[in-house]
Amino acid sequence: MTNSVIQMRNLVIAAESLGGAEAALACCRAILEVFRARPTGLIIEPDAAALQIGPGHRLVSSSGALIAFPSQNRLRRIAKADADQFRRRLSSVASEMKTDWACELKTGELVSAACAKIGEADILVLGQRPMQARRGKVLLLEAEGGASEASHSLAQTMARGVSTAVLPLRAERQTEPAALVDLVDRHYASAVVVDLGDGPFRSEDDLRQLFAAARCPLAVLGAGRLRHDKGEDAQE
Amino acid sequence: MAPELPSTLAVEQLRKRCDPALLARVRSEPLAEAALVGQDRGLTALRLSIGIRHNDFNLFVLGPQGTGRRTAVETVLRTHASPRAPSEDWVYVNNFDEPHKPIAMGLPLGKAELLRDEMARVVDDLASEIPALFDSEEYQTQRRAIDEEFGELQEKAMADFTSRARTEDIALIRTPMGFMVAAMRDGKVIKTDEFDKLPEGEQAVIEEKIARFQGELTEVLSNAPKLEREHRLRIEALNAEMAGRAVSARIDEARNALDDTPELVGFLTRVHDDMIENPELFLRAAAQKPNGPFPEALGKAHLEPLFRRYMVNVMVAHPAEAQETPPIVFEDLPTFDRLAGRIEHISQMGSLVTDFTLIRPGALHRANGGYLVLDARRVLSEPYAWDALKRSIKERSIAITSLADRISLFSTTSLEPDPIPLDLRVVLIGDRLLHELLVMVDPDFQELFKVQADFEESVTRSDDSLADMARLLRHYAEKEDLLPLSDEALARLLDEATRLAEDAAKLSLRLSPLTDILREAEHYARAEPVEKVRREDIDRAVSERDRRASRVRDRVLETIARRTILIDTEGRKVGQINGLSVHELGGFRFGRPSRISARVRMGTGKLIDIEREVELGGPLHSKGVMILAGYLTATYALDVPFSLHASLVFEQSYGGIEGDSASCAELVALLSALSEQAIRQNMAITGSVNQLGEVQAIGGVNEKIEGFFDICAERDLTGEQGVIIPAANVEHLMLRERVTDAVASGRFQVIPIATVDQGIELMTGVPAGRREEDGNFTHGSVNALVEARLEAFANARKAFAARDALAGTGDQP
Repeated sequence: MTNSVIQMRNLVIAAESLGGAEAALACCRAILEVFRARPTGLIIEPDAAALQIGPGHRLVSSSGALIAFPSQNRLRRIAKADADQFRRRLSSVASEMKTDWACELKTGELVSAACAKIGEADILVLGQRPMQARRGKVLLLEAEGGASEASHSLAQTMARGVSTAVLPLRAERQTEPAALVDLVDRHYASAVVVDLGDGPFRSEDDLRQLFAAARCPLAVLGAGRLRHDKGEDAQE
Repeated sequence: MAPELPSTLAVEQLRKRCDPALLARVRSEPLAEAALVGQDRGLTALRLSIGIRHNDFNLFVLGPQGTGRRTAVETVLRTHASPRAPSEDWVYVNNFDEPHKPIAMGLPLGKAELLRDEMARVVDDLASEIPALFDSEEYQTQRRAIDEEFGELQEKAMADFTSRARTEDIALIRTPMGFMVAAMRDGKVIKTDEFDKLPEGEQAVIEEKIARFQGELTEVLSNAPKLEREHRLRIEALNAEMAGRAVSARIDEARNALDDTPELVGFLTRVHDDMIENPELFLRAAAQKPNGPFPEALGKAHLEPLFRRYMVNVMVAHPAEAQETPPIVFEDLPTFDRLAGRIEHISQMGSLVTDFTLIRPGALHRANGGYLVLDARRVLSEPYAWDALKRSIKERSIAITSLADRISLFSTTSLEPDPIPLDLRVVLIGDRLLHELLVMVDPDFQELFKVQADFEESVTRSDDSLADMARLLRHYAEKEDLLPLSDEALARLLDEATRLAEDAAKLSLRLSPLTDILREAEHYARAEPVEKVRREDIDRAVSERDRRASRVRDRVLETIARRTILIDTEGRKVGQINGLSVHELGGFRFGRPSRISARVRMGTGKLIDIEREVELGGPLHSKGVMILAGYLTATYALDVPFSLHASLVFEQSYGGIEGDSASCAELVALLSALSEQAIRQNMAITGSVNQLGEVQAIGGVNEKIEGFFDICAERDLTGEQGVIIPAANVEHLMLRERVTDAVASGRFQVIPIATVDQGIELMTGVPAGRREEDGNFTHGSVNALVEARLEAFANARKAFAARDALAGTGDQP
């Protein structure tokens, strides 16, 4: 287990929509109060149109209605508007915290773009609106050796921020990411906290699957190591 | 033998005087509760209306103002009235099923306010108990368990879906617009351009999977609202169970504190059910509580708008011991709202809203089970008030409506409260004219007001009635904390009552003027100061009262005194006579002489009333003049055509003339003009005459005599002056003492006549004459002279007619 709370550089909040960003921001206020970090926003304009396969391929709304794929132009407009709004929110929060801030708009895939942005010491929060209106717990993923103190501290802070409790989750097969993903998939939560340094999640794909299963904001410690690892792999 | 002429009236006939000794005898009689004098007819009717049980025997008390109608009603009601129906308290409470139709509840006496206060306490207690219950560990744990159960259900559905999809290389991707299923290959999502490069068969397989999982995803997501609904129902059931414990206990306490009448039990049950269905009201109130240092002390939850639905609007509340005492309500401002109640509105966010707590009672509610006394004229003056009153009596219920809704002034949220059953006796007080109008034009009136209590204006003057009035006035003085009355003062006051009655045989029952005089006299007495009100104080009050109102009379007398208006009070003139008229201004009456002149000549039988010709003469005056013509044509020169042209006028009169009280004077003036016999100008005459020459009674005889007297007195009485009045008016005489003193000392006279012959003889000094056996009037009499003149006119006219005829034919006479 890593040692006590470390000074963080950036708190990167990445999302594909304003709704997701706001869900993440709700968890992050408490983090900013406790940790010294600069809030950095990242709105990703998804390339959803590039995933449409065949004429019958549709999106399904959260109420179960089939809707047509939006055009890329439309997605771009929405992303731009969301980014503008998010900037205003961040500015307000940063001003309360008396810290500076930044916000960007990028195109691409959320997890990849976020991991590209993150530094090793940074906290990454991937934002998405929870599926359910009622508040669930903050899930703290524990690896074989348990959860790091930093992730503990982070989970407690986030739970306090949304007036809920922390639920440690430990899978039977703790070395397999899929086991933890499956566990997360079946829990309803306000947020999920994971320290990549504790394992077993090692790659962007692992993170992507974990994010998809969470269906709520995902706070990641040690996400910077994914970029570092990618860089080492590339060099190799 | 010529009939004797009437002689001057004695002083005793000019003014009745009450003997103070009579009053001294009754002074010692105990002052029982003062009954009304001379109102037996009215009081009997009043007692009938109060005693009879039928609801349409309401009462109209009619009579002139000041006759003690209202006092009589109040006295009789308070002493004789018993409750018409068992009294009840009435409240309005919320209709939880239809809030716009508040429910009326009748409760035993004394229970309305108890219920209201108890409901306030119930709300205050539950406002702290229910939030505490919902904050408890027990509730929170159960709530969390339900939340987690349903949370897990939803997540499980999604997790099962993603797990199945994953086995067929299908991924679930979330986008800002919603979810999508995407095909995977080697752990990566297949994009459009990659898919397009695949063989058709593989494309078809992928498309089929996409479609299938897309359909499944649709089902899973559309199931979420159903789960949400089930979750909500479970929470509501939990809330109801928790709230139910607190509410049931507290409502049971309330039930025990109040009676178990069916209405109360029903209401409390409904409140109980509603509170359990809506516990969030109490939670909301707790959330809104102020956070100051003493939030519990300051918070009176029942005052919060949230809890108005549980409150009780008390419409009528009686003390529990009031069972035997009927409500007696005098409503002096009977507007529609104040009579039948009203529905108030308050402004909220620019709209006018209302609820059952804003219903206000009216006089009908307060008087229910008893008696309601109203001024008839006021009720009829208020828009819709009369209609509301009648409707309530007819339907035997009080239905409260908004006046604004009734006249469609504007559309607002409004209510239809339950009508409240009504058992009431209504007493209307009004004047006779109003009663007559209602009988004539309102068909409902006689159906609903079957009893009339007709209050007399006067009572026969007798020792008994004088004694009764004396007791009444003494009682009044005592009640009003006035100085006691001396017997002489009381006697003087009672004489004034006769003066007000305009009849020496009566006493006026209009007590207001008498009590006004009494109070003014008492004021003068106190200023002296003396211990009792004296006769001279009454005299002073009467004369001061007259003086205050007599400015116009004094100006008129001044114009006569200055001879601006010409009135002779001595000498003799042919065809000119002093008539008398009475004027009334602002309730003050005074008489004055008027010069009436008559001129005659040959004519075609026309008697011109100049007042009528210029439309200054009213119909009654014109009728009087026409009667003169009837008398003349029926009395004189019966065998010749009526060939008179005469004109009559009230000299220097520029206002309207009405009434026939001067017709005798006009006839005497005409006879004087025809007979060329001069009339005494030191006498005035008043009286109405019929076609038979009989002199009939007139009104205002006292004022007329005094009017002429004052003119004569101002010019110094000669001892020859006086007034001739109809004999039928002698019993109406109640002259002021200035006149009776002058008569007593022989300086003035009042002479009654019964026929115009007596009048002409007194006024000319020449016998009137009567028709002898030979058919002629007594030689040299006034009538003989009149007849001779008329015959001469007829002959002259005949001669003229013949001459004209001859002139027409050309023949010489």
